Amino acid sequence: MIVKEFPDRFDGAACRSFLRQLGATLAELYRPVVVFDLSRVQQLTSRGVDLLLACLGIVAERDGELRLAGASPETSLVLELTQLGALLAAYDSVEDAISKDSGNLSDAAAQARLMPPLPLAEAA
Amino acid sequence: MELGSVIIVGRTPATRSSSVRSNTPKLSQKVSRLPVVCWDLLGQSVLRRMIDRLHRNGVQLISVVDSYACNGAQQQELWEKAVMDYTRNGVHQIFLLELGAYAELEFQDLLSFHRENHHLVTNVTDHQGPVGVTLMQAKAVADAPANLGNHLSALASCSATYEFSGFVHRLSGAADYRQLVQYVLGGLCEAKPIGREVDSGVWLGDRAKIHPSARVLGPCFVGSKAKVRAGSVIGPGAAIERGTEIDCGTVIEGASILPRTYVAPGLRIANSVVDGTRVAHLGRKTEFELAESGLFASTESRASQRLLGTVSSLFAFGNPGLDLSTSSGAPVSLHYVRGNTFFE
Repeated sequence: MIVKEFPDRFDGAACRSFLRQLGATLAELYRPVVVFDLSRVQQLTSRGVDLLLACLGIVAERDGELRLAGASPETSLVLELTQLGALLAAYDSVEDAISKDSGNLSDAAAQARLMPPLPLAEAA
Repeated sequence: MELGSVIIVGRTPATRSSSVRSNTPKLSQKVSRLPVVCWDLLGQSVLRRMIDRLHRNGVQLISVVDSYACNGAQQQELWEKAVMDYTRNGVHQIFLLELGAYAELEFQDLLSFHRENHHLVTNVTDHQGPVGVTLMQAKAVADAPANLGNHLSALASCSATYEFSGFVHRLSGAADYRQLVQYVLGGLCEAKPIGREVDSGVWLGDRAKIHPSARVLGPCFVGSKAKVRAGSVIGPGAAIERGTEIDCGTVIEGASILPRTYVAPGLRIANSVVDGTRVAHLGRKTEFELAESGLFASTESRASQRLLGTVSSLFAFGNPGLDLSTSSGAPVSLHYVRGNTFFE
């Protein structure tokens, strides 16, 4: 379980730096569970949404799972409007996000986790 | 016999004395800088619809007083000044409308009732209570003391009550507003969307542009000069008011986008009222300012457009199309219309 504080400003340099750090942290991991602490984010901007999507891509490449925690009401609304809320499980606090097991995830996310990886020979 | 009308919008005496009630959860009116009765409702505000109704019923002298534009004491002076202005200039009967509801009232019927009962003041009520409409004889207030409101309260004992059984919908917030939009789109009241019905339940305003790849599912409304870009979906219950731009792939259903709002691509907006960068979410019962998110903007945010709007509103002053005047030639309300571009 990896907990990371999501940046509260979304200029290009901050976003690139955050993505680099995340990539380096997850480099050697398979099926990581990553929790983003959004409590410092007052309002998610369109750049913040882009950053979240990029992070989701990095986590998904490793068959991992991304959880959000501590989103402000404004951020929750932005997540709903951009439909990210349907892709990512959101929790009130980091503790909640850590304590919840996969059984409490959204159906799609839970279903994705339950799918066994294909044997290499079959996949080929 | 000359008729006059004073329409009070915003925080009216009626709302203060709880005559405007609602069964729906209230959201404040902050979502827009204007009172709810001034929000475009399928192409035309409740205020404008009420002015048209008054005209159809033979009331030509109409003043609109805004209670948001000034503090309580001044506001009282404004509407009192309007009433006294009428009485001094030969108006015989005055409709006082504390506009907090959309009511399909036939003012001629009310006038007949008032004349038959020979009362100085007639108040309109429905099964929920006062509707916020009072008809008074000018002579009842001609010699009134300074505080006309108190004088009218004192006259309550000798006033008649007109029981109205027609359509009344009280508007105290975004939830009430959305409900009225649904009623109009569903044909449950006399009001109609301003535009032409191009398909069953699909109403389009003048010069509305919808990309061929966008899907429009009725009942819904796309107002004049609105733009719906490629891949968007305008679903049931959606009201896209004039000058609004819906960018590519955005889905709007069961929501109202108030005039001159830009909505970014790829969003899904439901059960909400959006005005510029402010969003009232009816499900969450909260309002948000999302200026920083970049998801919404005002299509008139450019300074040149704002300047143009101000200039055009100045030229609109005195235009007969505004339909606002008092017999004295000293209109109490037009300064408001000019300053706040009520009828842009």
